[in-house]
Amino acid sequence: MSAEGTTSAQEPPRGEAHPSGTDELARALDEGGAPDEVAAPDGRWAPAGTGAAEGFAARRTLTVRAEAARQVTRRRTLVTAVLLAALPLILVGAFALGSEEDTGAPDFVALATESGANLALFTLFAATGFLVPLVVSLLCGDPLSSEASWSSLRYLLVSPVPRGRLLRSKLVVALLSSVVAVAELMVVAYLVGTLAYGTDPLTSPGGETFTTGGGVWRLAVATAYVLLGTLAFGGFAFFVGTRTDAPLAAVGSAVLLVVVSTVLDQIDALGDLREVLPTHYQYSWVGLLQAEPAWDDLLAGSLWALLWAVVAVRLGFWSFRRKDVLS
Amino acid sequence: MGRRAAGAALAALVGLVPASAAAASTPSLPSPSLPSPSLPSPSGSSTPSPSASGEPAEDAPEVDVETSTVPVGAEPSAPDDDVALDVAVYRTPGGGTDRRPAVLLAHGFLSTREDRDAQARDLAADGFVVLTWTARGFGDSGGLVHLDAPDFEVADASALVDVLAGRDDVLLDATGDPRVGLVGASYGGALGLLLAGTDDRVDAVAASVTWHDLADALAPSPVLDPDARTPAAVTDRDPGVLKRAWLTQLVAATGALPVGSGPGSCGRLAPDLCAGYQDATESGRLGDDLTSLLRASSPATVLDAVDVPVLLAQGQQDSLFPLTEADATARALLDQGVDVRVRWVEGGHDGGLSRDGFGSADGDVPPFLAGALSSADGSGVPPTTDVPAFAADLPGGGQDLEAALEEVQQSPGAPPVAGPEQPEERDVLELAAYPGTAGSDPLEVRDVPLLGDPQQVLSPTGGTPSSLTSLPGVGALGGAAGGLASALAVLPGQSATFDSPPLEEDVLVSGAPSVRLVVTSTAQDATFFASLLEVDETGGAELPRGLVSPVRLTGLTPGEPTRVDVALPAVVHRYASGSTLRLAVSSTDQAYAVPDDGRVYGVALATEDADPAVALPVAPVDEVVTVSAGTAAGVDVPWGLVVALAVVLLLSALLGPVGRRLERRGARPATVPALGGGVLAGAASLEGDGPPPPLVVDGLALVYANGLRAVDGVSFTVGRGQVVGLLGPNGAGKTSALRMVLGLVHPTEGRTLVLGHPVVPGAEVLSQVGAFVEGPGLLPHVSGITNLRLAWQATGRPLEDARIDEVLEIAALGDAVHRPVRGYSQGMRARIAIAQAMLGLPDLLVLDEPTNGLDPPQIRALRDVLRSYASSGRAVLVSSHLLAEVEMTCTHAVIMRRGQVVAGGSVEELTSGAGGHGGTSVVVDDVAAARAALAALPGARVDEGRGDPGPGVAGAGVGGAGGASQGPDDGELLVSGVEPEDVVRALVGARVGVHRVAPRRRLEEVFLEVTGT
Repeated sequence: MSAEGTTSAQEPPRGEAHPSGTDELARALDEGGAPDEVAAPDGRWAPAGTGAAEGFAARRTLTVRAEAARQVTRRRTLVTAVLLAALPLILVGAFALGSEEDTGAPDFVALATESGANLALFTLFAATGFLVPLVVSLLCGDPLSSEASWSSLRYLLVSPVPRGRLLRSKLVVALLSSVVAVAELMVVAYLVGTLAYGTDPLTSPGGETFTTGGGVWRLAVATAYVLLGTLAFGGFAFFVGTRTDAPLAAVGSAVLLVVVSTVLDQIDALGDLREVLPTHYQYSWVGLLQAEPAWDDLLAGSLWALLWAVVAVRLGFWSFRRKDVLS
Repeated sequence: MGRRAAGAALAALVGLVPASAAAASTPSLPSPSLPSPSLPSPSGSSTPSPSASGEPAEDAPEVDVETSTVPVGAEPSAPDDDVALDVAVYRTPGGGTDRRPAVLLAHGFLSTREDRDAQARDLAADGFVVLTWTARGFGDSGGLVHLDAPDFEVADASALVDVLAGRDDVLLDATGDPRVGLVGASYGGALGLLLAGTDDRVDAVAASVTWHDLADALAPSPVLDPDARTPAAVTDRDPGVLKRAWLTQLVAATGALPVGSGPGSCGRLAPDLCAGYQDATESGRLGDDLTSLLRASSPATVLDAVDVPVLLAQGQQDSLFPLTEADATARALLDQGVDVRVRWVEGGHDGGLSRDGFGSADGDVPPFLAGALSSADGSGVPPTTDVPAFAADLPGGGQDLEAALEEVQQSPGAPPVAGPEQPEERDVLELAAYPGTAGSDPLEVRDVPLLGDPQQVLSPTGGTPSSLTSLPGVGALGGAAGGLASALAVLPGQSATFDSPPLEEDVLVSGAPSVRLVVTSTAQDATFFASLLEVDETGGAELPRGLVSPVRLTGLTPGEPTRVDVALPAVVHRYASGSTLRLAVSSTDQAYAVPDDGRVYGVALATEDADPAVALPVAPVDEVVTVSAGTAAGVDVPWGLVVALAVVLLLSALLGPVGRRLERRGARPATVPALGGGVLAGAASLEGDGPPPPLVVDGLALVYANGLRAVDGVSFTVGRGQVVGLLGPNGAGKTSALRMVLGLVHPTEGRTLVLGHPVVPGAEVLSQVGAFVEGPGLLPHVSGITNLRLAWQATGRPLEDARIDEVLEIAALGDAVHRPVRGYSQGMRARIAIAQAMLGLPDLLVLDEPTNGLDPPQIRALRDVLRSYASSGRAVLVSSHLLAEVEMTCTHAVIMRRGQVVAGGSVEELTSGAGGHGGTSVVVDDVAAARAALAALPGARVDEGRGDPGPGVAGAGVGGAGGASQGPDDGELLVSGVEPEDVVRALVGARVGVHRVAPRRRLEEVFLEVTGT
């Protein structure tokens, strides 16, 4: 039964519809005729082709569009979208309410209210550590495990959607929606910030002021980098999602990974080993906030994130292919 | 800052931990003497850029390293034992007898030669013979720390010059006189200047972030030097204010304890220094003995003997050795005509210096050495060498940004984990000569008026609370976020502030400003700290570089005003137009020793001779140039990672097909022979000429890891037009079998063929199968009809093939199909799920307990549906525990028990007992009469029934079923050996009332019998 619970519902009037239903079915069955019977040339019957139903092709199963349709109307999608759009508004409200006191990051907060670009910058800074990993983990880890928890996974597989294809569609939709989610956050932050604080160009906390175009591309690249850097967590959540029927477990374990990685990253004794941690280069995008952006860490961070993401996703495919679907 | 953070910061200091530990624990913390492998090396020469890992770049020339120990002068405590220095010589191979200039590369305090390894390799690659060594008292070298004492460390360096003179690959100026330059930062830099002043074989010195007079540097009280015109020329009052925090941190790490005299209380610190240090920590001032020792270790004492080119870099972020130290050295050398190049660079002992310790001047070192060591007489750098006489980095450009952001992100409790980047482009003040020396104009001095009434400043007892401006070794508090720094730097009640009017234009202060104050003390002395903050238009205050100037006055008369000149910290800082200058005078600073007794100072601006003002050395803005870091340093590609990623991608691409091949090999063919023909035929049903049956299950087995055979050799066939019931008690393996049939679970053995095609996960022939297994699986957030649409959409088949309207009629949900599924009852869910299974009217329908949750009319309707479904030539496999339902619905049944098929056949066969155990059950109103009548039939055998008429399963044509009409003589008889029609004929002939006639056994009995329950 669905995890969404079984609330009592008004049953429709019973009894009257059945005969006609059966009749309709009988007509339809007759129309369809008996299954095709194909005889081999020698008169013996032989199975031909793959035995697929007419009109069936594995490459048309669970298209990205079909998967998107399954996800887009979900409540968690809506809630995530609303929350992300609300965050910049909340920030603006908080800045309006908050006093002028030092918060430990005075220049940063002060900068955030300079312009729309700077609110977007602050939003990205605030979201990099936890919010973006959380959202991406949710979007990547939840689709498969929710299908498992709804029991609909087995029906998709019997459709039949080949397992690799199922994962691929879910992954593509998860990544696309991650992009949309983070882009939404940034665009809303920029717009809300522009309405609230004006159209001044981006100013870096180091005091550098960029042109509007320079600010926009830096923000865009930084956003893309944050997304890319978060892929490691998305991949991990995706992998766990193939192993569990509980969406919470998939998202939760990715969040746990974020926390553990952040903690380990603060242990100086680990030295260079920390470079392998998926959070190590998380904030390297601030290297963009200079006249000549510092790309080195961005490149290293991107490569590490890609490496982890590929490993995790590959593991996910491997494990799901071999899995016995019991849910 | 937490305790841990302070500890880490300490470690970051000038390499305060042994080299091995430092390398392991603080690789990315910036410090002057510690390699910071993550920092890019902005190299303006052919110096290979080190890769991110700190290893030599791959295109770096091969460098040979010889290590050895060199005996040098003994310690006084053990005059017979020579001290052995740990030495390494770096050079590129080849060249035969080719002699090259040499470089002595000195390390920083509390460090070892290993820390200079990367720098040594780079210099060797530039064509020098590079000798690095671990100074006495550190690392693997013997001896004690004498802090660059002339008789010890400096003499050791001379001995190393001898070593170079004895090498056959070092260029000689004369016998025993090698062509050699000395390079070092901090402790190493001072050594260079001291050596150049004592050993005239040295031909060049590159010194960074080092001291001029160590006693003054550790206990300063600066006042502008009236005789000098250089931008940061100060002299120090004596006594000064002890930099207690710095002293403790520097010395304590040698192992010396602040108190005590027993063995070991001095660690590796020389006893004379140790005693002076212990005295200083107790008294809060430098004692005379210590002062004279420190003076002896100061370049100031030997500069008059230096006549070789000097590159002098000083950090702007340095509360230990501020810019005034370099100014004093440069002034002394320039006055005697020495070629001196001065750099005021970003970073310093407070953090953020580059790997080589020269900051933005790192790239200047190789060309400087090359120039200085090229001329035959070693007397000058050719003017063509592109190393300007004076350059000062301007703040900004975001170099502290990353560190500041890290700090904000991690605060509280963690130091910045990444050093500031050297920006690719930076603003630099470049002048053709060091200002204010012979042959060059001094900087303009601009007076900016200050306003403010006399104020009282409390100096609290014990010196706490104290204002916090810098954490030695960590840097100005708050980094780029200077607001925090100013908040803690200017404590209310303990500070006096004087503001200027808003500036009308940007003012680029480059050097030490000065101000004249009138101070009154309630004691005979006064100690206070002066700083010059920038207050922007919004009121935010910034303390440039977190630097303050300590002032110590002695010999005062309590209550009597004293006029005092104060030199403010030397900085390069652009005070922006519109901002105001704020002079702050505080009575405490956490990093310095302050008087323990409470007192009150009166502080006022001096107004006697002139209007009160702060005098600013101002640099010409038009001399500021933007320079790029030389080599278009591009992006340092971490090739190791790229390769790793490529390998992972390749493996991943390879593993896919391999994994799939392994899967195909997974299912082994059946090993269990089929039980018989008909529904149990299994693979045998494939033998005929006709088309293969919709479903053939052939020897399926599922064995768990623990050896349990959940399904054990199940074979059966579902033919066209058949509705086959799969029966069995709980745990018989029905559902597992169905999961394997559908390709959801990988069978251990056996196979499934649908329409002759084997079923594997994702097999396309599954598109001919509709399934309802273990309950519905619906998306709760969408309506029933949307669920059907989405389910069909997932198959990718044309919408018109779905027959959604027809299957919706079967579901019979009415308008409820448009409501979200999460509100459905169990029955509604079951019906929409069955409808989903029938989408596209597949050839084979597999239904697992489809009647769960359905009410009797719906069950009946489902029965009609299944029958008409089968009658169209399709097939249905249905598992159920409602045996009566199966008996009525199914044409065939397969009974499983403990994973095995124990019976199977058509329902008729199973119940009528075609195997010889058949019979007829009759319920009559007169048992005795019936017995008599039946006894007359030939071959008939009559038994007493159980007297339980049971449900009217087959009683369509027999009226009067039900217990209500039964009389006292009613009873059931079981008749075997004769056909049912003969039985009825006989009973009717005997006028016995027949309530019911039925096959002798119902499916239930067969089931109970074969399953042994």
